[in-house]
Amino acid sequence: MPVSRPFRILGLHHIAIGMAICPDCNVFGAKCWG
Amino acid sequence: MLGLTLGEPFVLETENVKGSIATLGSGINAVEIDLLQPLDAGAKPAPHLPPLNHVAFWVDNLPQAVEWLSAQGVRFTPGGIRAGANGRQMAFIHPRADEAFPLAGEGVMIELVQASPEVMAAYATIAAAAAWALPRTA
Repeated sequence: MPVSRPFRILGLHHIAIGMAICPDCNVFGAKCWG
Repeated sequence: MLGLTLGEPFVLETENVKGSIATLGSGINAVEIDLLQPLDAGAKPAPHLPPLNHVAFWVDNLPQAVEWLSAQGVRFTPGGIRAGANGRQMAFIHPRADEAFPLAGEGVMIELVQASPEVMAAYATIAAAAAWALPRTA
């Protein structure tokens, strides 16, 4: 039986990547992600 | 390496985090990669643990989502609904259940983010276009 929810999930907003200290640059992944 | 656009670093002391937001795509359909580092590696919350810290979804009615999901037994993290790093209202579903709230993210923290009217309109447009382009067959 379908569940009626008073809200809808629309889509992906973000994912979050954690780092103790970026091993390469310590500027929040600039080397890897930028 | 990946060529994403990196934003200026930000600090959110209440969440023990210093971070920067990388963006892929553009406009209303942009998806963010939030790169997080703890202000105090020994304090909670620990934004670097686990390294894939959480996933976040747009939701059209955050207060009703939190109320309804809580009533179904979904565990949220302490702090309730509050402003996130980008200023939008958000809440976290806890990665682990407990006795009072037996449903959770099965090890994954899930953020629910209140969508703006513009975002909701964009998703409605996409859904309408998809329904037109790819009609369902019986």
